[in-house]
Amino acid sequence: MQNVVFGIVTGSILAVATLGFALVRQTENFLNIAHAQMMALGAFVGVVLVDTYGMNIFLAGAITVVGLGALGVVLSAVFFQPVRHQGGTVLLFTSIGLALMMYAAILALFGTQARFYPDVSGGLHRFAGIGIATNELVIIGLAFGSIAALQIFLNSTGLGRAIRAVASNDDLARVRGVPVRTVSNTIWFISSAFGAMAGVMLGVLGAVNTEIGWHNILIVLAAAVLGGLRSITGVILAGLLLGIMMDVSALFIPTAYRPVVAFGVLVAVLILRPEGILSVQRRKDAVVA
Amino acid sequence: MKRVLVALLAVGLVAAAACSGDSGDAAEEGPVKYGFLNGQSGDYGPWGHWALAAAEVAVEELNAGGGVLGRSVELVVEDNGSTPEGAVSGFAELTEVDGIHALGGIESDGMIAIFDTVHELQIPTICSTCGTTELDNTGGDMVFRIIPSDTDNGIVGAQVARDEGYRNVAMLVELSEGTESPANVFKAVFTEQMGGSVTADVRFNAGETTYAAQVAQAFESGPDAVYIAAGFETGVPLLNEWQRRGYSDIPLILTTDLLSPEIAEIISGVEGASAIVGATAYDTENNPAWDAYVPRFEAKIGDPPEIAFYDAWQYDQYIILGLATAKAGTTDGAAVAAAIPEIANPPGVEVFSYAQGLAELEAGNDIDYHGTTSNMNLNSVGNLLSPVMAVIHVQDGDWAVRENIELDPTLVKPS
Repeated sequence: MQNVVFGIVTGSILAVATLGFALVRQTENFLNIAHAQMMALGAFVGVVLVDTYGMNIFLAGAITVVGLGALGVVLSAVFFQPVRHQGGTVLLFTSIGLALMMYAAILALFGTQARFYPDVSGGLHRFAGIGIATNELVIIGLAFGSIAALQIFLNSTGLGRAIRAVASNDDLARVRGVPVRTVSNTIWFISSAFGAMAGVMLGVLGAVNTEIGWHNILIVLAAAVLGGLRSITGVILAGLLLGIMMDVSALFIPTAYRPVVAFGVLVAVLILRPEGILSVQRRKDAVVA
Repeated sequence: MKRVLVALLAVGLVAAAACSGDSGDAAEEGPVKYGFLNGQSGDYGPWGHWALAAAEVAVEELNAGGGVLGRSVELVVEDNGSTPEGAVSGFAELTEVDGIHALGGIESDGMIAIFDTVHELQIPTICSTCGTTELDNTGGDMVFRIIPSDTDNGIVGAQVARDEGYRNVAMLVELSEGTESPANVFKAVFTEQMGGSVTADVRFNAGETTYAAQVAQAFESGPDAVYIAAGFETGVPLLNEWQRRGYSDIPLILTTDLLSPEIAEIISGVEGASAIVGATAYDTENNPAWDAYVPRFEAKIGDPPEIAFYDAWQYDQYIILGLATAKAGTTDGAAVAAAIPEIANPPGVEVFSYAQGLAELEAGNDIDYHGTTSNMNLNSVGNLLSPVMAVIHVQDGDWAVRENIELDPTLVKPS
C-alpha cells in the first residue's frame, strides 16, 4: 500500500505534466516535444527563486507558473504560429528545434551543476501504517486542485467552451466566430503553466538538473497516449495508473526497470486500444452504432 | 565533377599530412601542455573547484622549479560534465585542438570511455579519481592509477561493516560504472567471505522522479545498516528521502562519491543519524610532501584540504607527470609513460617535491617520488601498491577521519 501512495505522488505530477502536453495536442494538433523543457525551466526558475533569493516556496512556485505560462504564449507566437498552416509534421519538428534551443538556454543560464530545493518536507504523517510527507500531500492537493480548476474553467466559462469547440473542430469553430487566436494563446498559457508546475514539483521531490526534461518527455508521451490524447479524464487516470504501476512494480522487479514498465504499458495500449483507455471517439462511435 | 572532387580530396590529404609533419616539431617547442579532463560539473562537480585548485598548485610548483624540459607548463582544462560522453568530446578537444602531451583528472566512467583512444594516441594518462575495477588488470603501459581501486574500496566497505558488527545489510546502488564497481565487490566480500547477508539489493537509474520506492524497499527489509553507492546528484534526493521517511535509526555505510559537504550537512541535520565511509585517505603522518602542499592549497582556495575530497591526488599526478617528462627528456608519450613507474618506484633517492626530484635527476640519480597521498609505488599494471585507508564519519557537520585502518589481508578480491 505504501508503494501505491508513492505511485499516487508520482502519478499526480505526471498527470499535471501530461495535461499541459495533451491540451496542445488537442487544440494545435501536434506533439509539443518542447513541453518537457518547459518543465525543466520551471524546476530551475523555481529553485533559483527559493534558493538564491530566499523566496517562499509557494510564492516562487506561483511566480514560476505565471511567468512561464506567459513565456509559453510568446514562444508559440514566435515559433509555432508562423508555421501553423504547414501542418503537424512541421510543427513537430519546430517543437524539437525549440526543445534543443531551450535546453541550450538552460545550460547557458543555469550551468550544468545540479541544484536542490531546500528540504520542505515538513514532517511525515502516518495513516494506518502508511507514511506520507507534508510536501507529498501538498503536491497531490495542488495537482488535483489545478486539474479540477481547469475542468471547471473548460466547462463553465465562455473561453473554456471556445477551447473545447476548437479542440473538437478547429475549422467549424473559426467559421462560427470563435476567437481562435485568443483560444490558442490561452491554451499555450495553460499548457506551459502546467509544465512549469510539474517541473517545480519534480524539483521539490528530487534533484534539479539539466536532463530533467529529457528524462521525462517519453514518460509524458506514454501517459498521453495511454490516456487518449483527447480526454482530460483519461490523461489524469493514465498519469495515476502509470505512476502507481511504476512504483508498485518496485515490489516485484528491480526498480531500474521502472521506465520499462511505463513503456510496456504503452506498447500494450497501442496494440490493444490505440485510441487510449478513455476514448471520446470510441464512445461517439458506439452511440452512432 | 567526380574527378574534381577526388583531386580536391587528394590535395586536402597532402596538405593535412604536411601540417601533421610540422606539428611533430612544434610539439617539442612552446609550453608543455598537461590536460585536466575532469567533472567540474555534474556528479563530481562538488569536488571540482578543489580538484582544479590542487592541479593548479602542482603546475605552479612545476613552473616555479624552472618548468619541465626548460619549458613552461600549461594546464589545459576541460569539463567533462562527469559523463563518458563529456570525457570523449573533452579528450578530442584536448588532443586535436589543444595538443596536450599528457592527461590527468579523469574519473572512472570517462577513463573507460577514452581508454582505447589514449593508447592509440599515446597520451600518458594518470587516473587520479577513478577506482573502476576495469583498471585492475589493464593499465601500466599508458594509463596509471594513483588512487585505490574500487576493489579496495569495496573490501574496506565490507571490512567496516563487519567491524561495526553489522550482519544484515541492505544495498542502494545507482546504475553506473563508478558506483556499481565498489558495490559489487562489497556484496561479494560481505556475503561470501564474511557470512553476512544482503537483505535487499536495490539498483536504480539516475534521474528518477523520486526515490521513495527504492528507499522504502531497502530500509524496510530489516537491515542492521544500509550501504549506499550513488553519485552526488542522486545521493542528495536519496538522503532527503531517507530523512523524510524517518529512517535515521538505521546506520548508513556510504561510498566515497558521497563525501561531499552537502551530504554531511543533510546527515548532521538528522538527530541520531550515523554514517560512515570506508575510504582512501591522505598520507599525513611525517610526510614532507603533505606538509608542503597544505599551506599552498589553503592559500589558493582559502580552506585546508578536506580528507578524501580528491584534491591531493590531482596535485600528485602532475608532479609525477613533470618528473616523468624530465626523466624521459622528451614529451614523447611512450617515453614519458615508460618513465612514470621509474620515478614512482624504488630504487632511487626518495623525493617529496618536483624541485627535489629534478635536482636528483639532473645529478644523474634515480628517484622514488613520495606524494601527498601515499608512497606512489605502482605495480606492473600501473595500480597503487599500498593505499592509505581510513574510516570517515560526520563530525560537527563535516566529514572527518575517525581512524586510519589497514586492509584486512585475509579478505581477497572476489573472482
